[in-house]
Amino acid sequence: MNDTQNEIQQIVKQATPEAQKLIAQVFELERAKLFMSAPMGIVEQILVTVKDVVR
Amino acid sequence: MKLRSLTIQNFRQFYGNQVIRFATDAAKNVTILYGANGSGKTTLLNAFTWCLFNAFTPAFENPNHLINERAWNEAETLEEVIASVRLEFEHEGKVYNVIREHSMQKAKQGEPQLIRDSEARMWHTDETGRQSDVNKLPEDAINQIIPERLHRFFFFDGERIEQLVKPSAYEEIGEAIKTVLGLTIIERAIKHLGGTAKKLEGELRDVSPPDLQLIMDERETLVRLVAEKTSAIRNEDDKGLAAKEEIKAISARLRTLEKAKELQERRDVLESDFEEGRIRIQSIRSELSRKFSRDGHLAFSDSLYSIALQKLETLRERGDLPTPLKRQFVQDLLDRAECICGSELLPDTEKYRHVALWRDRAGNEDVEQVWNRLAAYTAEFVRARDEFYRDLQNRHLDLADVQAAQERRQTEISAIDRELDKRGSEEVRDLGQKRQVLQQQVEESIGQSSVLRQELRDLEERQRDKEKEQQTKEVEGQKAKLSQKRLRIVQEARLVFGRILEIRTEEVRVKLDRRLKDIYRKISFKPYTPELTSDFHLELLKTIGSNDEAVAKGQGENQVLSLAFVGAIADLARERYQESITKEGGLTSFQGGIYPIVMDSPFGSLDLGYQKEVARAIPELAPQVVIFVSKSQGLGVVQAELAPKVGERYVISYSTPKPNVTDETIELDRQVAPYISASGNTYEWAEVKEVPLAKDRN
Repeated sequence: MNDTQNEIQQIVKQATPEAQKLIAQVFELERAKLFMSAPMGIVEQILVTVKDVVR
Repeated sequence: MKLRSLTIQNFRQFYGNQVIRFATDAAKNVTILYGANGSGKTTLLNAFTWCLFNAFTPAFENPNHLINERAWNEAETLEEVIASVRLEFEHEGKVYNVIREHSMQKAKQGEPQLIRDSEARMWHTDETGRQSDVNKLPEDAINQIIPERLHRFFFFDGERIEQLVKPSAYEEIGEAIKTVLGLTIIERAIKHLGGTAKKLEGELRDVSPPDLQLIMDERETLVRLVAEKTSAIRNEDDKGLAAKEEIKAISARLRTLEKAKELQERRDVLESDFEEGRIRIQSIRSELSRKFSRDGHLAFSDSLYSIALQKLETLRERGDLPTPLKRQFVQDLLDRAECICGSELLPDTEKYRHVALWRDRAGNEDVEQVWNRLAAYTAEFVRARDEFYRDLQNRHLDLADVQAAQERRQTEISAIDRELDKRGSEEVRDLGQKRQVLQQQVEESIGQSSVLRQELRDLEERQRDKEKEQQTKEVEGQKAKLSQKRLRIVQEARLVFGRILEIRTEEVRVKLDRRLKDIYRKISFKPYTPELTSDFHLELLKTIGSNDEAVAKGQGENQVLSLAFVGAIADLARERYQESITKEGGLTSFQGGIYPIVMDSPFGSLDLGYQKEVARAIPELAPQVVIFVSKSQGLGVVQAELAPKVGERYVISYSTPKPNVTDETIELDRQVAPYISASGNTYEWAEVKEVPLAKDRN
């Protein structure tokens, strides 16, 4: 792992556990829709994810 | 992505079907097409960008007229006329075809009726030859292979490539960098989390008390003000840039007018010197400011050191501090029982007691060392202070010299303007006056933009404070608490993504900068070093003494710098692709790629020296290179340099309806091909003809 990856990992680790969970899930959502030039409904999906992560 | 062929049908000047097969051999990776000005070189470049992205380059005029005029006029009533471009390429072991079609039907009254409006279809062929459509929108599938944001770095107009070093391109460069590193996913996450936060704010507002609502209102106002200020800055910068461009056009026009030509040429030299002077002043000032922040304290410590030294000296003279005499040395005299003057030192004698007193006054060794060090430090401070003053003085003298030279240039420019006004025609006078007004506008824009930037910084700070206040405000009720927490977590996640984006962008900037330097060194014979600055400006630096200073760049330098940058982007995308084959994507998305470079007139405004260097460097920029050149640009030194690397060669034969045109041909390896000829009717058209290379003829 290089310095940049280390630095990024540290930044993610310093976030609250809920934020860390949200980051990972948002990333997966975005990756799944990446091939679309204008993904529809993704904000609503993130909203559902947030509500699931922070109850 | 490896290009295999391009098939053009009735597209702009190109009548009927034209096929170009590209060089695919790594050792002979260049495909060269020769064509006269206006024969269709820019059209060919745009055939690529239209087919892949439904986009055109800025030099492509009348983009709505895609169908070849002759084909249209020859069509029968109710016949559909199709203009199309088909590109065949390989990517990751598959052969892809993209075809974009635009068609019109000739209605009964001869009116054109749109049938297909630039529609694309994409399919791939597997090893068995079976064809199947890609299972996505063609635009999305292409974007995954070659992101649209990168296309202008791989398909470009060589004469306009120097635009990359203009301020208007900085944003574009920043975007390209993010794309190359595959950061689109993070950018999207930031954008979509912003949308989510907005929705959550709406929910929080519904359940929050009035004081929190007030904070939210204030924050929203600040967000709006920040956006307005940002847009005002952009407008101001655009205004300044537009005025600068107009000034350039006026200067160019003046150079062509007989009465103004000579004066304008002198003015150009002065302006270029003035620009260099401006950069030099900037550099001296920033060096001075660096020096002050690093060594400025020395200027105020003058009396401090003198007072300290004096006090210490007094203490030492009084015997309260040890003399700089070694205690061990005195002890040795006593042990040897012999003084340096030769007297015998026997214990319990007056002489012995006297010398022993010196040993005691020599104090302990630690104190002595500290004293010695202190004295040395003080001397060093005094030396550094003197040097600081000397350096300061020299730089101020330099600054005064440059400023005086600037004054002289300014005076001479004003004198030229007056002379132009007096001596020139009405047009010259008008242009001169217009230039002065524009110059004033440029200066006003610079001043206004700097005021706006300061205001923006203040607003952003207030916005951050308000956000904090909103997040930490105590609320009552389960629902409000939950909403507030959700909003906080979303904003936290957004900040983390923002930080990651910054770190990765900087990482790739550094990598690109390194490659840019390597490639530029190979191409240019000038003693300059390129730099991709932290705010994505492409600069050229010259080392003067121990400092690097920005150079005012001419068109040739700009073009070479931009080409080197394109090469660096292609190189990085390639590296990223190779990495992605061996590793998992991690927090990134785009897997990079191996791209060809297609360029129109890369030698346009270069002098002979640069033409040779650029021709030598071009085959190295990418694994596959396609270039379009005119006879004047592509023969001679360019042809000689490129010859060993050319794998395919074509000529665009252009037929013009102009009467009295003398036919022109082009000779390549003793093969003669038509270059320009009279069409013999009212149409103009172009055809692509292959001129086989020697190996293909044998």
